[in-house]
Amino acid sequence: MKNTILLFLIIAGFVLSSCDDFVDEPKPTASVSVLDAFGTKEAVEAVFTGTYRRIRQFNDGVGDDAEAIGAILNTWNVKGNDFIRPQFDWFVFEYRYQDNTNESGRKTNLIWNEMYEIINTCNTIVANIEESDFSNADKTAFIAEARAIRGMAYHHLIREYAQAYVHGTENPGVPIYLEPATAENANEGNPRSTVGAVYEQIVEDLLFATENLSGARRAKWAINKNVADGLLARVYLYMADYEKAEQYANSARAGYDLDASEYTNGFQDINNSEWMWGAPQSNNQTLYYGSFASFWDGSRYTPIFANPSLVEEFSETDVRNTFTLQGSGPYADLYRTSKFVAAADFGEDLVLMRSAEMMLIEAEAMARQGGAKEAAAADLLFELQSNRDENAVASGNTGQALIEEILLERRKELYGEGGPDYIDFRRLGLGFTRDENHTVPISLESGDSRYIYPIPQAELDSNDEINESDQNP
Amino acid sequence: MRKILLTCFMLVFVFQAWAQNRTVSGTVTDAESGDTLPGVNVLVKGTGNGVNTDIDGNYKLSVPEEGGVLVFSFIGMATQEVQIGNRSVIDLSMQPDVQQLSEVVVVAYGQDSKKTLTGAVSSVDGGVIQKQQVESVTKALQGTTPGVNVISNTGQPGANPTIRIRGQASIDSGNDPLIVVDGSPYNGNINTIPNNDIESISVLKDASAAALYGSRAGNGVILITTKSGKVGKPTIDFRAVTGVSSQAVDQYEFVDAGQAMRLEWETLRNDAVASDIENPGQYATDGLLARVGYNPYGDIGSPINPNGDLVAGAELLWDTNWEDAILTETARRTDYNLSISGGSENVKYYIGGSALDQQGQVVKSDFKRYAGRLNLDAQLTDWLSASLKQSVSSGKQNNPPQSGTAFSNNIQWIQTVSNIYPVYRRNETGELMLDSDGNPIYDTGDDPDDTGVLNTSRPVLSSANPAGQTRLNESVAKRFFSTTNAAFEADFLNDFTARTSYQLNKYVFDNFAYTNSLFGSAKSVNGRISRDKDITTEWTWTNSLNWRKSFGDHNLDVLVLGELYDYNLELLGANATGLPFDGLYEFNSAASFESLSGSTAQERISSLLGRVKYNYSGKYFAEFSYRQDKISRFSPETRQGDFFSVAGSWVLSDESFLSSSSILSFLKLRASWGELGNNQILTSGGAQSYFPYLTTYDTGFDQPGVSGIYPSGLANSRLSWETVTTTNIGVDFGFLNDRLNGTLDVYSAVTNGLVTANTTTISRGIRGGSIIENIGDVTNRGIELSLSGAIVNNTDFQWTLSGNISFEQNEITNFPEGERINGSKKLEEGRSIFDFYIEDYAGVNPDNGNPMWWRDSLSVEGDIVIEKFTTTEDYNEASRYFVGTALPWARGGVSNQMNFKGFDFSFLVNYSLGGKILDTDYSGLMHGGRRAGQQHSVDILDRWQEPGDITDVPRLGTDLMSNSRSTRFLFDATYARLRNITLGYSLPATILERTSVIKSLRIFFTGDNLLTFFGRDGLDPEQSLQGTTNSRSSVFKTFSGGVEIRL
Repeated sequence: MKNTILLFLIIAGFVLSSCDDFVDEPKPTASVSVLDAFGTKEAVEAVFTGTYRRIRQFNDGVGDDAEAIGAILNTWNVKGNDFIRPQFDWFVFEYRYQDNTNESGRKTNLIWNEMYEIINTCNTIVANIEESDFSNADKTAFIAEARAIRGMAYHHLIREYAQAYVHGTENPGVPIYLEPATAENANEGNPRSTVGAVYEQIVEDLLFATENLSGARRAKWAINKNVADGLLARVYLYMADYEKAEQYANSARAGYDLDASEYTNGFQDINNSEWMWGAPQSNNQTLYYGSFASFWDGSRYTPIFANPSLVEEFSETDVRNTFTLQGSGPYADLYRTSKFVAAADFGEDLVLMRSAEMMLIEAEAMARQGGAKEAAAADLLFELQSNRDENAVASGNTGQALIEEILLERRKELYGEGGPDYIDFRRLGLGFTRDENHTVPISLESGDSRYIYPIPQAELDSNDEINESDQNP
Repeated sequence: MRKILLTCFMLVFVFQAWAQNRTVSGTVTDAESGDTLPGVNVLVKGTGNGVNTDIDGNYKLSVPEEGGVLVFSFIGMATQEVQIGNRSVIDLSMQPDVQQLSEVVVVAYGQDSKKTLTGAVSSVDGGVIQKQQVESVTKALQGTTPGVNVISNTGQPGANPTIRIRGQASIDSGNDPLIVVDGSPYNGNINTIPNNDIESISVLKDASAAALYGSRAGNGVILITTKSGKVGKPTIDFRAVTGVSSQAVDQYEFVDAGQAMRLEWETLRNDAVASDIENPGQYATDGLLARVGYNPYGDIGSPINPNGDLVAGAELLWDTNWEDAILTETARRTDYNLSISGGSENVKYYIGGSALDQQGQVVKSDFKRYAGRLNLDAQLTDWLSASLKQSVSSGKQNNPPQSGTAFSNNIQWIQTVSNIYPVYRRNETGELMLDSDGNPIYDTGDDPDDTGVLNTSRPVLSSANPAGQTRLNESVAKRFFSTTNAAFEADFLNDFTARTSYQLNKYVFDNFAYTNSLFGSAKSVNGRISRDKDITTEWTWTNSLNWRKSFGDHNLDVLVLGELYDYNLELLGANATGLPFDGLYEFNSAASFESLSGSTAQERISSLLGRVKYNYSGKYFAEFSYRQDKISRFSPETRQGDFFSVAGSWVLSDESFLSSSSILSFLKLRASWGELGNNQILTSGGAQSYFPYLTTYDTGFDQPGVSGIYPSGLANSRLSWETVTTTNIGVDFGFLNDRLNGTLDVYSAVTNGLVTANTTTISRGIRGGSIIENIGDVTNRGIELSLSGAIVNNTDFQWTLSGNISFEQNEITNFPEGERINGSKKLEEGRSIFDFYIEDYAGVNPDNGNPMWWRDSLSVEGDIVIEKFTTTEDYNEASRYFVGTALPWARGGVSNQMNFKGFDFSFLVNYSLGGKILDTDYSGLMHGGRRAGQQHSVDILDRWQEPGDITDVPRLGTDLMSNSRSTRFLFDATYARLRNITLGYSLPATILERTSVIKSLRIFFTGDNLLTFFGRDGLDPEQSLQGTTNSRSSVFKTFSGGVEIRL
């Protein structure tokens, strides 16, 4: 009897110690598993929230000039003619066009790394949503939002690492990935697709988004149908497909009425009615000195100066005339702008899309189509001008003069928000020469290789499908 | 002192209580030769009452009336125990034996003897551990166990040392050995275990010894066994030790305040010369006070004239010795231990209690521990036995910062702030300022009243003053550890034993810090408190079945075992600010919360084990073991691991062709091979990663008012442990009846599948650009030799000398990453993890006093054309070279034990030969004027001063990078340390036997770390495995006296 009991106990003990359930039980608690992240709609929305945050905050602590989307916009700002960066301070290398000579430079890496990471996150969302149990309507809406972000990310890449669309669709573009990365494919890179193929993908993503999103959204930092339309309008403008650019710019701005008040309020409130999309920064989620506004009003870093040639385009009564002459010191002849104010508590939102930009896209697209649309273009342009300046007078320009006037209006309306002179030169395949107010003269030709970045060295080293011979000139 | 008085009182008391005794006598002979044996020790068991046999092998001994047990021992003979009973004559013939070889050695899931071991195991007896005044028992392994590297790198009492067994097996995963206490894994703090409770420590070094611990054994295993009771009357042991401690290695020698002022002046003058400023001497004189901010000469204008001389009449008002201000002169140590043990055939018990109080050198730093233990063994029936081991330990540790780069690190402060700066505030003219109560005020150097005058603004580490801060701040770690181990064991069917045991450990770590509101980092928030409460709960349930059977000369021992292990960690932490009331440092009195964090982690392992031991007539041994682990840390596909080992040994000395040798008394060959795992996957921050195979989403990616999550990177579901394959060949030998004996082991341990980050294709968009994978190999090879000899062994005088030496090599044998610059090291294939890769100092240019470094000439592509082509005075142009390794080529220890009549004398020395140390503490002191107000080493006095000076110390100047990392600060790390020296005296039995209560009484004096032999002054040679320094406090030397009484 004793032996039987013992044997029974021993066997029971061994059975217990070999059961798999025992080891399966521990689950992570400090972070969220994939299963949980796509288990409920609220969880999926949290993934989107995190992705938008990542668009704003990427390079934690690497350098104050490398904080994601704000850094990309400021890079565009200092590359053209309208802004001057004479001091040895953040963005001086970009101003001197030294950033894109380095295959391991911070910007070379930042844009590539951030956008591909965002793309992979979107691919992961799409793949997980497709496998989920949500209703078809929910699935489509989530996928549409993910594809909108993906389209935006590819548009950033194709603009920075390939020659503009107008130079030809057969030029080398960037690699395309539509599936999430896995441990198995982590070292299998794709080759560079053509510029045309990448634009096709961008258009496909954004069309899917605009067709399946509604105007409703979680908050103004998320992409809805209007923002998707706006992104699409930008893309068509780059592709010089002016009919579609006009169509989507028009539908994008519906419901976002002009309100010029932010020009005097420091451009930091996402709730302004003409802001269609932004990256909010509350005082407990800040990038501190890496924030976009840190480089403008001089309270954190030395300011980026406005070129007198830009300033003289504004009338005294134009609300957008935020300029004051420096007046003393080595940069006495340059102007400071008060458009972007650095908030004391760093609570400053970053604008990513405004209805004014959509009006200008629509106007430019109509003007370039010419004919009957030219008058509508001029009317739309004047609608904006008169909102900004009570003394504005319609110019009566037509033809090329009207187009030039609209491009000037883009510089006057969108200055500091990413170019726009530089990105317009690049988009239109033009060259440009900086005027004599600059401390570093630059003269770019049409299709100049300095318009774009090299493919990062780290990519060449880690992607078997892209080698030195595929590198940008 | 009161305790000593009490002890004396007890002595007087017991002397009056002698009891009746009778006498036993007899003759001891050698069973083989039949000769009588002189010098055999005959002892009444459990007492200090004993005699040695005389020249004719006769003895006569007074024994208690009720009898007891006589223990006969003699080196080279098997110790025998004989019941006295009613006999008055007991003759005995002794069998030759190898006393050391029959010693019981604790091994994985059982016991073995040195003779029958097949694996590489080093064992340290409790006696060796108790001799050393350590708060963490693993410190006692230093120098006593070959192949074990122990680095105690702080003077904070209660801190645990870094331990590496047979080198470093991993690069990015954990390298700490598995610690097993009384059979179950231990994740508490090892400092909760008092020395006195330790019976022995075994170190399992090769796969054969450790394979039964499977996926956790890759870094070796340390088995700690606590004391148990033995059959006999209650034995009461009391041990009291008290002593004083001070730092084992004195600080660097610094310049005084007067010299510092002149050096600051010279720095300014050199700057002026370099910048072509007119009249550089005047420039320096004018700028001196603005640079240093303080004038220790008082109200005297510019104390240094344009020629660099002190102006007439200038006298120092203060010359701060920060060491005196921050360190205590002597730290006290007291350690009391009381234990009662004994037992009948049916119940054996050990009850132990201890109280330790060790102060540290930094003000307030200390460690207190109170621990109790009950170990109970009971034979319930003739086939069923049970055991219960229960212990509790409570510790409190004040640990003001004494390493690292925080402003509050007291040691860094001593090495950073010049004597120019006063401890207490001075006014503009240098007079001491007092508060309203007439007390001096700590000087924080940040001009608290915003006056802008002299003696207010310190250019170095301002807004701080550890002399005050450390006294005002609190940094207290409290630990509570309890462990309960219950086991039942049943014998059945003659040859079978079944056993089940369950151990539950509960460990509560409570860390509290208060940062004061008067000055320092929490001044602006009116004080800050932070509290962390970490609760670890772990249990192990083990069921085993053992079958032992002999068939003629064939002996078989089969063990089958199942084990479940569960580990739970609960973390809770909070910060709050605004604590206006002195001494009220609770969250209830705080104005606002800053942060609150909490998380839990769980890990489980289920295992099946098997072991077969076979021997043929005690000469040929073979052992196979197998463990299967399933661990929650890896994915269901990869979580199962199988670990095998095989080993064999052959006792050659029992073969007929050797057994007749009169010189060689024992010879055994051993060989083993096996695989172990290392599952300690770490996060990039160095914490345990419990789910490295799961792709998870990090929290905290929020937008205003909304929580957001984002992928934490791509995990690798195929991830598994690192595998360590060890091969060990060993020889155990003994000569002259084992009076000289030793062990030699040669091993190689190859780690395959290093868990390390592998770069992925960037455009795949994986966050972090890498994925952790099992790639890369590291190989550790080594030789270990230990020798022990009984040099003299006669009745009155026994002298044993032992020593060990280990040689270790480390090589990265496969590194797919290519190369990795890791601070002062570069990892690449064919190199060791410990190889320094730094700039090479080329001395001082005699013409201008500038430092020089070697540089290569490079081609346009950046390839080296000519190595060390030229020197450069621009540090940024200097090339880096492999200039040696932090790994010593040999290390070990020497220990000595002498007994002469009642006196005993012992010492233990540990040594480390070769290897380099990069002394950045010292380079900070050789800044050469780069930083205003920073402390200088006296070596700066050898600086270059005028053209033609030949010296290694560059000129002063704020413009030079003379103290940047280079071979200038790379030193030979060879050292030896007298770890312990003890002199004791035991009262003779003739006196004690008159008491009949006191069985033995020994008084002793002991010194720990009294002497350190090292080529560098100011630096403790025990720094880190990587050979780098970190402004650490030195370990302490302790001089103590004590008494051991057995009742």
